[in-house]
Amino acid sequence: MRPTFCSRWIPVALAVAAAVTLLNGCYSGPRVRRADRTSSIVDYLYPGANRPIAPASLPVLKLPLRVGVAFVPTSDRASPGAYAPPSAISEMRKAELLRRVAQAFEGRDYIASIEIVPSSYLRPGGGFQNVDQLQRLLNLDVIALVSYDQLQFTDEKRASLAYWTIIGAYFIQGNKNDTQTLMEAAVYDIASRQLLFRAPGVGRVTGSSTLLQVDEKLRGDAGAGLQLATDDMIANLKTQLDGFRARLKTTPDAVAKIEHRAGYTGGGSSEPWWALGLIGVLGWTRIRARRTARRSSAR
Amino acid sequence: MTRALQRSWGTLLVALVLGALAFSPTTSCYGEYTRGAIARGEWWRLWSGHFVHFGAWHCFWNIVVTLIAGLQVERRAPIWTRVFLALSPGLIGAMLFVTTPDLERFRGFSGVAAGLVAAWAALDYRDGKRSRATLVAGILALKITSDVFSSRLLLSAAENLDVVPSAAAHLAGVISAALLGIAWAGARIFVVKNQLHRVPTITVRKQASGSSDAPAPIHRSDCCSTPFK
Repeated sequence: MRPTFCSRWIPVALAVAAAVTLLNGCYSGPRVRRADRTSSIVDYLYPGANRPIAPASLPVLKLPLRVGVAFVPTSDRASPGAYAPPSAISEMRKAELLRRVAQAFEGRDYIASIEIVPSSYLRPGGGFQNVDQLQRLLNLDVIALVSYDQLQFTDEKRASLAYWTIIGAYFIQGNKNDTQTLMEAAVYDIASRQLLFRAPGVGRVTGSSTLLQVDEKLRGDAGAGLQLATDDMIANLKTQLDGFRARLKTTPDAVAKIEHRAGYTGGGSSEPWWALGLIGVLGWTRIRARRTARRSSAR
Repeated sequence: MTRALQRSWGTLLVALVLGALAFSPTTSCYGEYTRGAIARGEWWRLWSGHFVHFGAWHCFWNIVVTLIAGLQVERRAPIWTRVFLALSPGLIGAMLFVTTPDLERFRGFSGVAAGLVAAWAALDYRDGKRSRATLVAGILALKITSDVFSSRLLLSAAENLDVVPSAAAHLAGVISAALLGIAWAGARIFVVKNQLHRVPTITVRKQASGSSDAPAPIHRSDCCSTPFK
């Protein structure tokens, strides 16, 4: 019996339908996906508060300062079906970043010690109660809280049409990736809950990848973005530390009240105004003596 | 010129030494007041700590005040000034060691300079220049008060943020000037009294009018009114 038209083409049609269905499972057309890794200082210090609580008073800084450096606890969010599975930065990476931040504080005469606080010591939403615990535990005066916000986008270019061929998914770079990182170090006086200064840092990494390399590429970009943002933040942190030092010297009463702990260094200082005041007294005496002499000679 | 130098060489010598030591960091390290080292027996640091500084500006302004006050005082009380310049650094250092256990390191001549300013005010008061004495004393009081109550850092030592002006050193300088002034006056009274007792005949001023045999009375104030000389 000769096969009919239907009996010849039905299996072919079914095979094509099955292939399309399967391909759709792998690739469902161009779209934008995003992943967001964030650690917010506000969420950590003021959990559940609509407005940050006003600082208690002018900070009293006991020089030299004992500084703690810590990463604010993270929370990860991802859009459904995001390529890169959201994951926090590893503890090893955090420790490495904190070491670099700590180095920015080193070698400054008004800083006595720098303590890197392990992430396990910070509770998500722990607030200043948590910071107070750290203060007592590690004997700190000031804490530098490092937070970051990393957004990763991946969307498909026209070249992604080649993914339909399956082979294209291996060799054609049809995905455009964009990683934007914002880091911030906020330095707080623990006792007064006052923000002393902050230093932001930004980093942006863009690139392309094949469909099958997206995860790997985005992970690499996340690391590179953090590195760039950290470099930028540390440069800004150094500027802010120098600026803070200058403010302490020029307008100390506006920044903080300075006290000195045991073992401080004192200087016998004759300041310019004192010397000029005494010179002024001498000048005034001389002028007065001349006037008196003139008057007596006139008589 | 020579006479002026004779009347002020003590202050000028000290200013010269301060200036020379400002450019010698090694000497500054070995000479500075360091509580731990003093406790270990390096007693010279009580004295030498005043002659070294934290920076050029720190030294410069101390020299300026020392010259202003020192020349005023040495002109009128040369020996006392030289004794004060020699002894007061040690006295001030000892007072700091006893009264300020929190002070670990110290440098600067302003404690001695504060003592000189106090002596200047005292001499002015003695010599009847009351208004200038009040002004000088007022400026000194303002300086010490600002050091006590202000949280300002040591601006003269621009490179050292954690260095604070030591109000204790300035107070100690004033106290040491007062102590040495009292000691000096006491010594003079003692010497003059002894001379009065030992010398049987003293200068007798004859009265212009009246009996030539009657000696003029010698007042105690004639001998002891100028303790600083």
